[in-house]
Amino acid sequence: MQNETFNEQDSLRVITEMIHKTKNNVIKKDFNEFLFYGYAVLVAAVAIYATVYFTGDPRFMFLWTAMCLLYLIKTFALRKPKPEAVTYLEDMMNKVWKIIGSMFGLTLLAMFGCSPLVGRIDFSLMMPLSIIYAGIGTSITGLIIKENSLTYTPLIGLVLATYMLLDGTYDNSWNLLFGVAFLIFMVIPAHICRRKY
Amino acid sequence: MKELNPLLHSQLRLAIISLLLSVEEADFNYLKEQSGATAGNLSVQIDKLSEAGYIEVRKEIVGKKPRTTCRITEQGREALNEYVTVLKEYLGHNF
Repeated sequence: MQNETFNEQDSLRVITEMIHKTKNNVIKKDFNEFLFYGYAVLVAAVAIYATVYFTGDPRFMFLWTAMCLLYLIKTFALRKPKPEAVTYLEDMMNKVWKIIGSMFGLTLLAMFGCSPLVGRIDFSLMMPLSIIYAGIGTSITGLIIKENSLTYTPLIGLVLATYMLLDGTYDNSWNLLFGVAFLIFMVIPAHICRRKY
Repeated sequence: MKELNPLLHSQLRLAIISLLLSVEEADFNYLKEQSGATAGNLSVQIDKLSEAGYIEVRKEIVGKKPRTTCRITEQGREALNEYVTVLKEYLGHNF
């Protein structure tokens, strides 16, 4: 950059150009996290549904704990290098998902902690709660980046989660509902966003 | 009419502070790429902005490579705000 004959018009041009460059970078997001977790849940849901259906053994539900393992691998082993620039929006989104992540962890801990009081460990509630937590995170992400497909599709997930909570007792169909919910509010909107941006 | 802040009235320093205005933080490579400046010149201008308290500079080692990260301070934000106000007056007089 040359500094000779730098006048007021140039100042205005530089400020506008630089702010515009940063704005363009804000929406260059690949939504790979949404696709990674969305497809992982979808594949696991179909696989667990099929396993429980063909074996008749509901203990295969414990295969869902592999999602925790997947989260740990994604967070620590497949960690991306720090980006060159972190926008305020990206920072906000990262913090939102950290809170959502800790909600998952705390709920699991609470389920363990409360098990002596209720006399059993029941993780089935994790399914509707996970839909609600992930849906909240997706909706907030949609609001931050002003993307309606992310903001409103979690409402469908909320309906499915409410059905599960009212139904109260787990059955194998919950696995499919869980997979469908993630397909609707994570996978499909992520593909829409990738096409747009 | 008020004078334009001489520290900001430089193409590269103004570019750096404008880039940092919209981000939480940015590293040296990002600023270099977006401003099109040479590493040496960018480094000098970053030091000047840092000495004035307009930006915060953090140096760390990531992996085995050094990484310099910059972020705008409240003082820098106010200075740019004032610069733009004065700039508007100048441009208002010229149009």
